[in-house]
Amino acid sequence: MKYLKNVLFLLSFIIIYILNPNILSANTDICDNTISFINNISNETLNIVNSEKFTSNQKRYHLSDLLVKNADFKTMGKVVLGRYSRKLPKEKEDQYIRLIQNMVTQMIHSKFDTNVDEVKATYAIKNRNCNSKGSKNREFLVDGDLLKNNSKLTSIRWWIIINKTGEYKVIDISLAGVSLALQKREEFSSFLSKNSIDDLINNLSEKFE
Amino acid sequence: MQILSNKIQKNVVLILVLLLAWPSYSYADAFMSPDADKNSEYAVNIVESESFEFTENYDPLEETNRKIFSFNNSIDKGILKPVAKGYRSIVPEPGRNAIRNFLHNLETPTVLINDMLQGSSDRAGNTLNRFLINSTVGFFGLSDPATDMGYPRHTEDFAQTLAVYGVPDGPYIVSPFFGPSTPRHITGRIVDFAAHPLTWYMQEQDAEARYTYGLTETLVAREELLDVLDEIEVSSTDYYATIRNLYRQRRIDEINNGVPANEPSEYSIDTARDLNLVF
Repeated sequence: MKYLKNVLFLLSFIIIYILNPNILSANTDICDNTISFINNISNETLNIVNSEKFTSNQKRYHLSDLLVKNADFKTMGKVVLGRYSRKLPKEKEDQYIRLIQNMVTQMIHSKFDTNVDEVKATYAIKNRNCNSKGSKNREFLVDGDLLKNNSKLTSIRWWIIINKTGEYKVIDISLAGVSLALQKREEFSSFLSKNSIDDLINNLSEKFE
Repeated sequence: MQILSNKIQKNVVLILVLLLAWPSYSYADAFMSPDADKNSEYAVNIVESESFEFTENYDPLEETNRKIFSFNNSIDKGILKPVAKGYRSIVPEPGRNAIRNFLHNLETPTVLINDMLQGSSDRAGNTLNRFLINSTVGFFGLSDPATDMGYPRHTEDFAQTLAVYGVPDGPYIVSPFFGPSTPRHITGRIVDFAAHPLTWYMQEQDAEARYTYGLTETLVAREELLDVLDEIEVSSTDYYATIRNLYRQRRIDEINNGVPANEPSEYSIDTARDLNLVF
């Protein structure tokens, strides 16, 4: 009987903690804001990608502009460099971040770039649910679907953070289960196991400058 | 009563200790906390830690794999890619789609068997419906009306079935001609090949028919990847490492049926330690 009372007490304590309305409403609000942020980016991206008045280069330019406003390339760059991030000289940091920005823009642009003879496709993104991570409600994953001509093309996952100034920023995108950050992290790690960080920056400059 | 009260106090203390000690620190927190220096140090430690490298990229045969990869790449550049480009330039998009749809339709037995082996009745029903619709309305599978009717295509193979039942994938292997693989995937390919009715049917046909089918399948698959692989090669600092990572990530996604994990462990520092992942 005493044991049962203890169990009941523990359960009630846990339930009160979990169902604390403040905690729940805070999480819901922030997740709603996150989805709203991502929906805005999705819509802007699709307006560019689906536009018939922009040339390929203009689309690339507008995508780049959109990414600069909404992505945190500094954090992205650190994540991608992994354990080599300390070897990045201060004076090369800006150049490295710019290269990461160019690289990500090009990669995203190429995902939507169609063959010349391919029938014109219309893309849409439906963001479904948001999971918050971490103790400070500043890290989120939003899952959705990328649609091509109204059929699901693939799944999409956004990794979002709220930075020090309270702005929402994207730091990774996964398409069809492939995380850009993970992909680049392994690639850079492999490259840097045989080359210096200067070699990496030179290599990236040749490709993306 | 006194004893009960003491026990309750002990339990409350235990809960508080558990709640306070719960590892809720996130990766991104480390970069953004106002306590920047201390947290940056923490983040750098995490980011730099060897133990946070992606364990899925287990590649003990890397040296040999790179040589085979290079061999495959030269075969691809010398033969397969030019032929795929030629195929693209000769056959217009609708024709290529029809051939691709036809070949996808022939995959049905493999997909269906593995749907059933995995106990996915919904997906098995989807596969069966696709086959019936595309083989009839879709004129022997040359078009794909099933997707528009709410039965989208999915892939399944025996290696995925093995993964669902907990068989580990093993080290990364680059097979000559076949490319990225693992022992589990190679086993799966052999079983799928042996179990497919077309394999047995083809045994009774002449060599020309067998080769035509095999080469067409390879050509169609290569043509589909022309732009993607070109883009990856141009933008990659280490093409081999990129392909290895893409292969691993794609296979995990296929095994999970394209559904991201409910608990996003790969992004959480809390579980990353247990799973030995990067984030």
